[in-house]
Amino acid sequence: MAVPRQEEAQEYLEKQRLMELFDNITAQLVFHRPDNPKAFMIDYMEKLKEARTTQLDFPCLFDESNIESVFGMLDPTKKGFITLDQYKQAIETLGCGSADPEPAGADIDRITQESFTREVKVALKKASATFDQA
Amino acid sequence: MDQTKKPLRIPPQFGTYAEKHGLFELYKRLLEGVIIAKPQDPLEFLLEELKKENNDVPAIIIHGPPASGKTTIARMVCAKLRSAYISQDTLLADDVSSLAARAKEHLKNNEVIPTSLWVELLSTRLKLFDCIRKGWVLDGFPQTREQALALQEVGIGPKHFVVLEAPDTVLIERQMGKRVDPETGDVYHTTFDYPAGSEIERRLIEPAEGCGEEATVTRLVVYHRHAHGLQSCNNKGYKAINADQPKADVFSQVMTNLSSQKRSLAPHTPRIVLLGPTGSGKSVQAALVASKYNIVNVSSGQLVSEAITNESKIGEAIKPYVDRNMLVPDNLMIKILDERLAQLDCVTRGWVLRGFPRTREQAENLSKIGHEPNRVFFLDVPNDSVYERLTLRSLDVVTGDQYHALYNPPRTNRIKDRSVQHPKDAEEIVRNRLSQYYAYAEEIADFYEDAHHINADQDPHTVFECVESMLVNPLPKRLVQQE
Repeated sequence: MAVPRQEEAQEYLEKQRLMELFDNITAQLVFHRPDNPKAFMIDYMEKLKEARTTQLDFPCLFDESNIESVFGMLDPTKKGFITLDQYKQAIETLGCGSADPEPAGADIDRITQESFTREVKVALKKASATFDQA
Repeated sequence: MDQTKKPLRIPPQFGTYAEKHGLFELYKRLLEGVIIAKPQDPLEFLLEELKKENNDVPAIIIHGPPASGKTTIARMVCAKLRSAYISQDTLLADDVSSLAARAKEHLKNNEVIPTSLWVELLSTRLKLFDCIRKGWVLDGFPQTREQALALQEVGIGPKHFVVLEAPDTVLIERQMGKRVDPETGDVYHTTFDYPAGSEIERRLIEPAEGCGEEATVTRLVVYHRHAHGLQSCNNKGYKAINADQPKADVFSQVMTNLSSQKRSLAPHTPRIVLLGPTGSGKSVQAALVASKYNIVNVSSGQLVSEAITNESKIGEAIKPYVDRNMLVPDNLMIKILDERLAQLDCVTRGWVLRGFPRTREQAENLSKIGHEPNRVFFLDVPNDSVYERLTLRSLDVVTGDQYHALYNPPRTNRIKDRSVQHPKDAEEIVRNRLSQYYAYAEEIADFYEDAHHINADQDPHTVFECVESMLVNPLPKRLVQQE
């Protein structure tokens, strides 16, 4: 049973995207496993704060080379495109559910590397920009 | 992080890592702070919180009827934890703040200070540096349910709520001898707790509220009127302690309570090591724990036999040692264990290990390869009981049933005649195994500082209850850090 204050808190957490922020931090911690998690978290948040003002370089586990290699894995024969199904799988694995489900080339079931990279980058940026964007 | 839903998504070492650094508690504290304060810019707020360097500071309320020794105990706790001591008097004593001045205005007019003003006073006080850094101990406040609820509303909640209890007659008598040092605010008693120096002795005065029986009774009545309401809104960390004891005893009980931690929702995979001499009931306890909490029962002896029967590579290497009745070398043993403990079932559900480690070196190696136990139990049994338990056992060679001359004697003479003692149970061999264990027991105990010692010379289920009680609650934390 949700009392009004509970709802209020929930709303606040969603609006400020705090749970996502903590999810991202956890992901970073799992990956790096730093000796001093607190200092690491401070560092992460500083970076995020900076990225918020500059709108650049959001702290994220994946960079462009990762995106490329994911595409390379899905397209081992170097055809230059992947199917829509593969695209959907890939964005789920990369943890960017907010990506466009109908990217360019979806109608012919061929998604080129270029549009794949573009979509994932936008989605990753959205996923790591965990603050109130209003 | 529900491990049943997402197995394998998180590397197993991360669980150990998170536990070691208290990540769950850190997250909880941060989120709590954010939800209570609801700042416009949570990032900034979190950064500030993280930089404050206050890991899990105490937040304690010490309460009780008049003359139960609240102030004395609270001051002792503060001295020990170096936390800030706060009472109604210290709140009002602040000369600078306008809030305190307003409160005093109320007092002058013989009015009751309104709850909202108290809350304001307290929340400004708690924002000061010393409270944030070292925590706080609140003495005798809140006094009513209304005040307690108002505090909760602004997000001030204690982690521990200690109530000192004593019979009214004791309290009335105690109040008669109560004396206060007006300079430091310390409380003394004319018979039980007399000050050491004669200088203090001279300045002692009777407390402002009076020592008479009538005044105390009135205050007791007021206290009892509110006591239940207070208890009901501080259910979680509530602990009543009998205050009708010497000061030192009360204090040590309070400290024990303060070092205990609330059960948290943090995901917890038990990694248990059971240690004890032969015949102490390690296997029985391991089986009980494993079946109740659905964790994996790992026995080093069994792993060795398994490896040999499977004719695996390690098994081949071990075989000559076992055939010659020699101890398996540490590095092989560690390898076998690592293989078993790194399997998915052990990682997700946890494990209980027995028969290992036997030496300090083995214990160190076990931690080194990433399988650090989070609970270690020593099952302590006197040697006499071990002999009684083991050497009197006999085995029916026809049916394979086990009998014990005292606890489970063979039913008929025929069975009795044909049953024999297992060669492993011979007194000589048991003595040998015992001396092997005790040769290293102390070393291992040194290594596992947080280990629990359990008297295993009891009924198996009584022992199991002991094990359980320490398994399900978080380990008590060390209140005073060595610096």
